[in-house]
Amino acid sequence: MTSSRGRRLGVAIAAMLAVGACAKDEHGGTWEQVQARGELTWGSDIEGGAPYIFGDPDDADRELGFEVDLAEALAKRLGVEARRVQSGWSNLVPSLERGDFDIILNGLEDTPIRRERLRLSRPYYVYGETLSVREGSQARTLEDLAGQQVGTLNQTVAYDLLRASDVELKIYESNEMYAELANGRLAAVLLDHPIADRYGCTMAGIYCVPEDLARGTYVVGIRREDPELQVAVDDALAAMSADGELERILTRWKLWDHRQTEPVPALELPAPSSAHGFGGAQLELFARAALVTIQVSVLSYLLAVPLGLLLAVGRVYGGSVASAAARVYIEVFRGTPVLLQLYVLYYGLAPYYAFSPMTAAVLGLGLNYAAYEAEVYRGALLALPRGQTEAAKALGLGPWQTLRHVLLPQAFRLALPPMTNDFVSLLKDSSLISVIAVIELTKQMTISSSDLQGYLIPGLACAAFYLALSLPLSELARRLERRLTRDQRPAAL
Amino acid sequence: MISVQQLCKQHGDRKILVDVSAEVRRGETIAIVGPSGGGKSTLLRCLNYLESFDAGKIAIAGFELVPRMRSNHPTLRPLRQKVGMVFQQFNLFPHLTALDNITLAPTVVRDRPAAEAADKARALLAKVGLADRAGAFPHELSGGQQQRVAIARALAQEPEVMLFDEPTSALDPEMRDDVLGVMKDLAGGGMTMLVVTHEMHFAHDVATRVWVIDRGTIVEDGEPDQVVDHPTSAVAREFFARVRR
Repeated sequence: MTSSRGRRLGVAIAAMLAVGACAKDEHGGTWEQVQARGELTWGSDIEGGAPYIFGDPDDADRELGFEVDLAEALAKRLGVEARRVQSGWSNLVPSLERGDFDIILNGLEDTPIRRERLRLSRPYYVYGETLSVREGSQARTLEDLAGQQVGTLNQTVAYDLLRASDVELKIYESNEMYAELANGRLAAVLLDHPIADRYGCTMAGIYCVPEDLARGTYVVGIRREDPELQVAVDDALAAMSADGELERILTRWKLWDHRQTEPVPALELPAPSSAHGFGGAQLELFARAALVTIQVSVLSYLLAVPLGLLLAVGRVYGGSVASAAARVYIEVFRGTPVLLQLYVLYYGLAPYYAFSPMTAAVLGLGLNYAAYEAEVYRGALLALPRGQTEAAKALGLGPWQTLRHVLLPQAFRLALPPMTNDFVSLLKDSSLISVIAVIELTKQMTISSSDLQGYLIPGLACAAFYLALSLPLSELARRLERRLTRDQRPAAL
Repeated sequence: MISVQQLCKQHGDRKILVDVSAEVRRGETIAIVGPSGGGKSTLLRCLNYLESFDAGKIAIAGFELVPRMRSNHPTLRPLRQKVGMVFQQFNLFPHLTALDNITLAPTVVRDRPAAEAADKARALLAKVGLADRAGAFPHELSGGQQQRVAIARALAQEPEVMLFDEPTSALDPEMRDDVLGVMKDLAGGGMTMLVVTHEMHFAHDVATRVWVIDRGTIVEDGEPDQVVDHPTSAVAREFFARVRR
């Protein structure tokens, strides 16, 4: 790096730090700043999809949804412009607290815990919790589903309701769980009715229980230190409700229903079992998740190593067909994200063959890592002197005997350091399997952080567990390496 | 034992071997000498088909070799058990002890029981003067010791012919004599040997015949006294004058 580039980088970092510091300082009077800026920034996640927020299929730059209309109407009442800020749904609260935007407006449910942590506006929508089951199922309540797998999204009221019941809770990242219900991997799904109506109840083979299991309200989230902004937002929402604008927006999106005018029954939420403090219960959850992580990692590595070996041998020694096939495999699996491969394997193939989550996880990671292992072994095989093969041939050894007794044992010694590397990397990549509803260490961390309302302690615990898994492994590999490479000590420089 | 008929090999336009014909009788020791790049090693490597050739044919130890055989041709593995080879760079298997280097082929290729193969290997190690180094790994052995293990490894397959490709060229002078001594004993024991070498003493004193190869052909073929001391061709005269200096 040249010194001028280095200096520029330094300036850029200093500027970023300064901006960060300002964002923190600005907490004092957001309402004043909103007025001064002429802009209200609202945090939300476009992945939530219709009817909340979604990309206009006809115009890549435009976003649609009842919350887009609502935010614009709200901003107009406040005399400013609305600007949406994208944020992952489960991180909306910490992002608001960090100062990434002025308010949360994104199906944020009114709960006692949120009420403690944030300021919540008056409600703008009443939702019902809709239970979706497979057609023909007699289940109508959570009691009927005791012991069965029920899916929902993390950090929702539905999640809290399910956790307090006797069902087996499956956590998903987005609305794919209705497909999971239709293909039989879930017994039921519990979610807010705007989601259920749109994605679940219309799907063949799914029946939605007409009575809401519970009702609650969507509210605007505001930082604790912004009482003025809360007053402004409440006043605006009250005015929109009074003059019918709210009803008009909701009607346009076919969301205005009997729930909006009926009294909202108090939401009876169980107190989160581990709401405060990181105790034995949390530790046990982490240990259980660590077990999943190590299980998936070890099993997928046990698949990746022999398959990688086969691919490497095919590439180096195979005929033109075997070599080309191995190369295509390697390029495809290495050249596309493992996340995509997991989606295709688990959700994409579900209509034809429904793998269990663990099988899909092991298969997905194993098939992907085989491509990397293949290249490691190929490099090691190519690094061996030709003389080794010639000596084996001259003694009358056949191709497989040469591989088995002469080349592979030597290649293994060369491959050991990168193999250790790959396993540690696999251990961490196994966090990706949370997209197919398997709870492993990283997912447990995000769940705990929402329970404990903070990332720091669960984050540190999670890191400690990962290190506890990877460090002994590195040490083991180091010893094995030392034993195998007695004759390959590097010369001193 | 060996019959080479009109052997030709070329890389593109470059001719490596040109119409080489020769006979070797059982028990002979042939020293193959000549300037670098003349085709000595290539000829030797054609004899166990580590290299293929383009025309001609070879009969060796009861097997027939013809141009462009596939690398997995069924003749080649039995042939190689009958024709041992020793390389310039030893090519011992670094992950195996001296003993295991020697027992690998008998146990894997010929299904000999491990104990029997190990006994035989110890006897061979004693024969090459390394009875006490059975458990040593190649990196724990000197170059001369490694090459003697390599000779024992080739002998373990009970070959009828031994090919030596510059067996002492990678060794310090004081180690060469150990290896040459083993080879001399082997020749004295009646083994049929072809040795590509720069050791004129070996060619003169041990070999029964000397071939001088230059530009892909055998330019002289005769008794050591005659070829080394009284070469007839200009090439051979010039070559011996140079190596003697």
